[in-house]
Amino acid sequence: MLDLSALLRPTSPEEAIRLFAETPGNGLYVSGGTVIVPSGSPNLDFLVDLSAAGLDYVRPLADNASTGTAGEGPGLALGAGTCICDLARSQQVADLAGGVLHEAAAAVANHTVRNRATLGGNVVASHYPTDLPPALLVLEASILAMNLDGKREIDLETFYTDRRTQHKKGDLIVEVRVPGASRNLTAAFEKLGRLKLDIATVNAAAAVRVEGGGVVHARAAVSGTGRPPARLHDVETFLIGQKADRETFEEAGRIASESVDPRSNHRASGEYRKKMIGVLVRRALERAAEK
Amino acid sequence: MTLRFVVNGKDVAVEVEPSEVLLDSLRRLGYRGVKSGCRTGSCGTCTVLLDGRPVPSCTVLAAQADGREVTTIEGLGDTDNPHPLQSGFLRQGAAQCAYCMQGMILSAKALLDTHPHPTDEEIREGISGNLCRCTGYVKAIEAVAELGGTRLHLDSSNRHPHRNPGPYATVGDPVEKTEGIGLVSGRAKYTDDFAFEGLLQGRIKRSPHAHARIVSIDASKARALEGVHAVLTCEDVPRVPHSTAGQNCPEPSPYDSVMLDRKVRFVGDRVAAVAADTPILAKRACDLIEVEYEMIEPVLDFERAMDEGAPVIHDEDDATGILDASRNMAAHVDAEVGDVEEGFAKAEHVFEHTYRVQYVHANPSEPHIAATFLDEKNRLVVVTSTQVPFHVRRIVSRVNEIPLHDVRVVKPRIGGGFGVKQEVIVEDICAALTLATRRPVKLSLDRSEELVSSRTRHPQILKLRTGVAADGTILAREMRVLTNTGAYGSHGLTVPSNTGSKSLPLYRSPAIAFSNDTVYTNLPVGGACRGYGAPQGYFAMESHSDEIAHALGMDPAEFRLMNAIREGDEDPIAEKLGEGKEGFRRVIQTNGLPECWERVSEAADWEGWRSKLEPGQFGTPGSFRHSRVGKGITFAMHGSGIPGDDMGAATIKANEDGSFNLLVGATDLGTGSDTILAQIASEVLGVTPEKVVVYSSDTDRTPFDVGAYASSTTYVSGGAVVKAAEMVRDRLLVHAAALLAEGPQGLTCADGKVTAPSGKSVSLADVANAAMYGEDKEQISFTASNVTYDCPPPFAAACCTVEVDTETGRVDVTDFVCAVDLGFPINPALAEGQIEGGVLMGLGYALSEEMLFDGKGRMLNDNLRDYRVFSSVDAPPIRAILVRTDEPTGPFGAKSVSEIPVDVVAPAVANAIYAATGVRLRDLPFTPEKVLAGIEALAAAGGEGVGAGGRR
Ligand SMILES: Cc1cc2nc3c(=O)[nH]c(=O)nc-3n(C[C@H](O)[C@H](O)[C@H](O)COP(=O)(O)OP(=O)(O)OC[C@H]3O[C@@H](n4cnc5c(N)ncnc54)[C@H](O)[C@@H]3O)c2cc1C
Ligand code: FES
Ligand code: FES
Repeated sequence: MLDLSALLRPTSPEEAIRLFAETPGNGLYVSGGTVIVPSGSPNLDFLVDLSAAGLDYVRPLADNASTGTAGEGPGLALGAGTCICDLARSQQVADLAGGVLHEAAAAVANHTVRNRATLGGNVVASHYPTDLPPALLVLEASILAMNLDGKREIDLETFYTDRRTQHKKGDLIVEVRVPGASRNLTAAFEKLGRLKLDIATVNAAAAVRVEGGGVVHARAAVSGTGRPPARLHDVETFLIGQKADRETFEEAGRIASESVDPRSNHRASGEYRKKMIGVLVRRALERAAEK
Repeated sequence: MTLRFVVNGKDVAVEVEPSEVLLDSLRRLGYRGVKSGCRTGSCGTCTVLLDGRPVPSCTVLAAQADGREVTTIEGLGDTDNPHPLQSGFLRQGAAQCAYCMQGMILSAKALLDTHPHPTDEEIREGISGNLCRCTGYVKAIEAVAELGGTRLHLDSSNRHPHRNPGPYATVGDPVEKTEGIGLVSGRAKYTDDFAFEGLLQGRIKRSPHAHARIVSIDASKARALEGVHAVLTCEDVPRVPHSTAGQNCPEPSPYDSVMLDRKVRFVGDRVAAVAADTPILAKRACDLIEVEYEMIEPVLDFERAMDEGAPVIHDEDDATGILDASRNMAAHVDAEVGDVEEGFAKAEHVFEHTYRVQYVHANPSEPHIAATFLDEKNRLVVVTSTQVPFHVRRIVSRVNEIPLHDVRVVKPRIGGGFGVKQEVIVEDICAALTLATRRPVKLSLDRSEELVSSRTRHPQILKLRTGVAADGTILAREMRVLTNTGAYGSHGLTVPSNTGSKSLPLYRSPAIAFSNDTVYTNLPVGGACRGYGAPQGYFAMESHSDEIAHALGMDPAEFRLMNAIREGDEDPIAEKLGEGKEGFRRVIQTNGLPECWERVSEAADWEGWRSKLEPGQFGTPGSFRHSRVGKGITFAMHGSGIPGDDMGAATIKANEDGSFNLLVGATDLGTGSDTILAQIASEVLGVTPEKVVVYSSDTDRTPFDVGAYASSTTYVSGGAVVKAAEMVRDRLLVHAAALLAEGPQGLTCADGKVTAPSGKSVSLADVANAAMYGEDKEQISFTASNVTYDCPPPFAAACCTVEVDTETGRVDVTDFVCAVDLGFPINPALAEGQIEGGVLMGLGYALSEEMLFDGKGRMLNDNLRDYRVFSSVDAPPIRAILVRTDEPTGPFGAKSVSEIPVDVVAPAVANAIYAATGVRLRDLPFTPEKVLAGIEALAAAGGEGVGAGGRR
């Protein structure tokens, strides 16, 4: 059980980072709390609660830099405090890239947990493995992070490959940005567990743009390898210029499987995961291409 | 900090600690309908609506609810003014223990607020955060669908029509549970809902090591902590070897446990106990106890436990009843009828297969919890979530060395038991803390402790050998079992005995042999668990039946039917195996198995599906490219109580208004036995069930009952109720005869009155009033007890349909039909609930549940995120069919129903996977990884099935 000496409740992101910096002891942010509260971590001294910090929103990306080129339509800014259930319910999210993010959100935990669990927590607590990161990775999402030095946009892939330097204690994730370019893609999410309602043994997402029967853009990502969620660049490179057909996607699955080296744990062996990544990537590609 | 929020429409302000979760604040404020089940966001018993949305309140920091609106079950409605969902759940018989239901009803309410006419899928999704361990979600879903006006999701043609099958008045009715709306409005009191002045929180310090000797233990720092009132180590409590198993005395389990020992035998074993002002203080105190361990090599592989030189787990010199402690052998069972070797010699074919079953946990929604205090006479009162209050009284008194008459045990509502609460594992030490502090103490296990440190279903390795004649007639059968009882031997003899005695009689064979070795390991402890050894035995035997049938080229149903036990048959192997000792002669008087199969076969379209298969073909195409569909069947029989051992008693007392008090020792775990016993009494007494006020399970006030186990309550305790009710009725007739000025002959008691053959009648109220205030005053009250020697078996048949993803190995159960011959259904709605719930528990056993350990004996998945039980979205439609037979030895023809549904499930799933893919799995559970490995192995071997030509 938690044994905190303080719980702070800022009403803005600015106040959140300030309170975090000012409070002595070992602290963390808490958002929906579905990971941090059950953890009962006994060596936490304080939590900074984000639920009143105004991070709960889904809106078109206003920022010029991230707006898509003409015809693409704007990207989306998803507040880190948005609960997964709202992502699963949002029409704006469902309309984006064949609804991959909607699929991933609907696959998280159960109805009740989704009403608390937030996007920010899902991105940060990716050791589980959580379901949103692969979907966000294939959409080439980025993160708007903030600390006392100011705000910075980090692309999600870099966030995961270089987490130690990209995400320091007290760094607040304000929002996740999905670029407008993703409107030209179709993408799908796949998850495998023992039961339907289960933490993923592995999960995967894939995004494609098919023109004239050929793949002109491809992204694939997985989680559940025992390492951070990751893009599968070998698969992406292979796919460009290939015909969007069953053989291609089967080969892509094979490459996916070869390009990962997952760990074993009580859910499954690394060997099984390796195979399943191939299957899930292929299935995601097939479904994405059909959308 | 001050939390200001709105609860059920009322403004509330309360001081909260920074770490406090909303669950605790609400309970502190008196909203006791918010239940604590796991405290990790995984079970949903703590669900409340936060601004209209269901959330797990154990993951919400109290302060996060500031300024928001919370609705608890109390806000929905109450006895006087129930919400339609509350009355609907009750009417449908959706609530068993109801520990999960307060939360589930809130989720359903939120769903209906946004989706007034939800589909089946939307309902399942809407309540997916509310795990239920008692039911199959079927009736809850129906209750929501009914209110939403949407089509019932199940084809009702296969369901019991819920009309009284007759010829009785109330027995046979789907009467609503006697607890009424209170059960689904947060009113029903579970152990944690009792308030005590000056209550202390108990906590147990547990061993981090699988096998070690405690060299020294220093509790001085813990004792010095302010707010800590007692720290108990092995030096502070009596050392009384006993068995924690709640069985008749002397227990057929070894006396190998003491309250606190100098040795720890599994990760999670007791080291010390603490009582403090708050849970967090109790935890800090536990952390401050310094223990020096001398490590001993642990025994983790139960196949190695008996090896020469294996570390000895029970080397203490005061344990008794252990078969051979030096070889880690807790118990051994051997029985043979006929001559199996001769049978094998005569047989045309002999089949031999080995099966393995894993560690699983009964996992009731409410973990173990007890509260103890000294009453005004300094007697020890134990309020506890138990199945066996009378055994608790005996064991608590013995191990604490206080007289039995100074102990009173009360069982309030309990949040499920399933066998794991047929065990004394919190009450003894909670009592010791009260005796040490002279204050009330509450001790509850958290979910991790529940999984690791309570009791489990025994893992086994089962070798089956069967000899058959050319036509498929069984000539000889042998079952050899190795059972892992973990660190202590509770139920270590009787569970494996039942593995054989419940399964082996199902098929006739001139020769049957059974043997079992039970070994100790440094792993969690085995115990009673719904089915009590039989699910293990049936997994092996009914998988084996299928393997034989397929090898012989026979229809698996035909092979079973031709060999199955018939009415009038004797059952010599069950007699030999008994309950840890030789049992009683048994002749099958009623056997509805053929009808069970007929109904299942029709409902599941068994013939139709089989006719679609080419010879040698496995599976039919499923709903997506790489899926195959298959159907598998199972037969089973079980028992009703322990013959010659189980005793139940009932007292009935008449009140002057023609109502009655029924006092029973029997324990309602949520199964509805209070209701069923009231129905039985009311039938005999000729009144409606509301006229029978039930009070159960209080060792001071109710007569003895062994408790709720072995599928005994309706059959054994129900028999006691019949007898007591008949005695009361006969006495009432004497008074009625005087009032009617007629002889007592020929008087009948029905419809609330006594009627003479002449047609004259007098109301029961007038008779009862006359008995109490008239000429011949007396308190009409009788106690009767019941023991039976028959143990009539219920029978069952089942068919499971699976869809296997042949690329991932994931198995989806898409339909499950189970028919049970339960004798006469006293309450068909409650009986169906038992079947649906038993099937769901069996599905977890088959597919998802498994306690996993690392190389040091630590459980890896000791929470409900990682130990997966079936949620509403995972559960298939479960179709329960009640087959009626009229068992002459049972009350109104009843047998039993609560355990047999678990028996049929795992083998039906195994057989369905085989039918779909050609892959035979003999190792539970069938995880996707194992299924896929089977598919790949088959392909590599070029076998028939999906791997090779199966994808036709
Ligand atoms: C029963 C159960 C089942 C689950 N099943 C799934 C599942 O199937 N799929 C899945 O993906 N997840 C699952 N989860 C995990 C979890 O619920 C989700 O991942 C959720 O999204 C976490 O979000 P949260 O807001 O609750 O996180 P919190 O517990 O509040 O925080 C988690 C971590 O993230 C950090 N954090 C949160 N927000 C921010 C921010 N804005 N900036 C910086 N750091 C931040 C916190 O400091 C903490 O370290 C499950 C959880 C439970 C309890
Ligand atoms: S107690 Fe909160 S989800 Fe289990
Ligand atoms: S009724 Fe659902 S857990 Fe008991």
